[in-house]
Amino acid sequence: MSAVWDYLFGSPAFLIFGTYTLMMIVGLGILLHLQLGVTGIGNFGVAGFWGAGLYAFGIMQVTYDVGFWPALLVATAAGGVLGLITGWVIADLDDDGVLAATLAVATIVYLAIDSEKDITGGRVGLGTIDFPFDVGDRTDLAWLAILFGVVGLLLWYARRVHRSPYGRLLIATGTNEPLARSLRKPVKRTKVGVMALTSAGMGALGGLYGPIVHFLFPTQLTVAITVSVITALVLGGQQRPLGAFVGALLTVGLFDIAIKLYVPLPKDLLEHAFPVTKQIIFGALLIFVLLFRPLGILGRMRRERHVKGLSRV
Amino acid sequence: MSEGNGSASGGRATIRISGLTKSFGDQTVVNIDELVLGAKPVEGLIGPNGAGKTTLMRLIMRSTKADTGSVILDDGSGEMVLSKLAPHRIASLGVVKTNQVTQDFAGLTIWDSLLLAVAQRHDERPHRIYRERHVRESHGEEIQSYLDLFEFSEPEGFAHSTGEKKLLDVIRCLLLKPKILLLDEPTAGLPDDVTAQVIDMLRTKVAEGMSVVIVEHDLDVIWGFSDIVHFMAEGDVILEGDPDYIRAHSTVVEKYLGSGHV
Repeated sequence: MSAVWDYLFGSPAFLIFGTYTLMMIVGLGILLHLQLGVTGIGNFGVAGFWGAGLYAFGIMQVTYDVGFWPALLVATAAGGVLGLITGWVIADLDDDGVLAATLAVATIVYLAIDSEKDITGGRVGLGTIDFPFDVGDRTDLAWLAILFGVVGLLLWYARRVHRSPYGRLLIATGTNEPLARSLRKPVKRTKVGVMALTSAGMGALGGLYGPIVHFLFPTQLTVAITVSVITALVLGGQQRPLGAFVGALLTVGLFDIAIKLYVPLPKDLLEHAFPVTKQIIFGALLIFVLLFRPLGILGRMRRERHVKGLSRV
Repeated sequence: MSEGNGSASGGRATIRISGLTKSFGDQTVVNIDELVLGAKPVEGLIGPNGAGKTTLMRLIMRSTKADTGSVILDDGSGEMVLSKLAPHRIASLGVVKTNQVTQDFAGLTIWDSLLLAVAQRHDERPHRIYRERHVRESHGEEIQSYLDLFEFSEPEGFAHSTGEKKLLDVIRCLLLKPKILLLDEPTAGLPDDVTAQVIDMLRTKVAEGMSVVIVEHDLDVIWGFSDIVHFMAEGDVILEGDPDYIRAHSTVVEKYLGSGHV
């Protein structure tokens, strides 16, 4: 029994950090699910909204010595305001335009952080950011529990949205804008609103990531974050709240935690060939899923189940 | 030009159209100096293909933007310039339109689609995630009464056939309780018995105060349902009158019906 325990949890720091990343991808995936899977907004700039929150949090904590909660509030607001502006810009664009514009937003955020060295530290980095509490050896674990709680809340909210008139409005907006307008629905306001709300969530997740890495660098905001989130969501099922969770387990969980931790690969292979191979496999997986199961492992929304459930109440 | 076209609206909402034009490239598809719709309970809009009927309706709803002109709603309490409002605001003011080409929401069931129509803005806020039961309890009976009128193959599932989607389109619009309902070929593709049911349902709503403007290629529906008929050709309303006057008019016979029809 002790041997199994040691095998599974023999490297707790690595396991905890891997699980942090997993939770980040799941959380961002749930928010992207509300944007893309429900409202049809293809946000290819997840890293930008998350990064805006991450750096807003870091600047508040390091430069202005602001406490944790106000800094987290600023991080949330940074993501939200960026989402509000982006939502307003993309509301009337077609799908290709939305992808390009959101990617541009992420690029602008990256370049701004990289170039505004006086505020962000640029490539030298910004730190140190500490956890807002200290419970000794278990601080990491406590923070992980908090992250689990936050992601659990996001999942709960997404599932409730599916069962609410708001969710129905989002689906209608995502599937047939002119028809939604003809039924009195303010389509533009709805899209701007959902972008602001979910981007605020991404900003908050960015803020919560700050204490995990302690030091912030622009390289943490590359498109790799966005690709990981999109891969997880598309693989798991973009229309289902649990899609990001299933997809993240099969991507980050399998490749960044399980294989690295439990498969005895040579160090050289693990450090050089593995990351590249992983990206190739992710890309191939995306193509395979889009070709043969476009709605991912969990498939389409089950609206009829919801309607029948309501009629039995 | 007109016969039997009284100006009194009898308390009904009316739409006044002035100087409305729309061109696509070199081709002018709508060019109307003055037109009032909704003064009579049921008004038919007929004309040959390409006369501009559907475009006129789209211009009223602003799903297509006009080049010039104004569209004004007078609902008895005041005038509102529809041609300056967003489409969803026009629908909120009680001017609603069904679709000529079948439209549906891909991810929504029949019930979903109808609950969407009745949900108010305050029900659809992001923080109102427990509002579903309230909407269902407030409007469930009304929705069920419509679903009882027609036979849907899977009422708790998705609309499958074009006919079901057409019916759903009409019901969605009626659930909005419009003052003026613009119907663009509402019975196209429906069997005769269902068409009769739809017309009966519309008559009931008209008796309750709703006005109808209907574009329909099934002329039996137009002659039997309309109080007044507007005849459109080349983008303009060139003739108005009661159905008997219009169907016997030489211009209509020549441009639209053909001599064998009368």
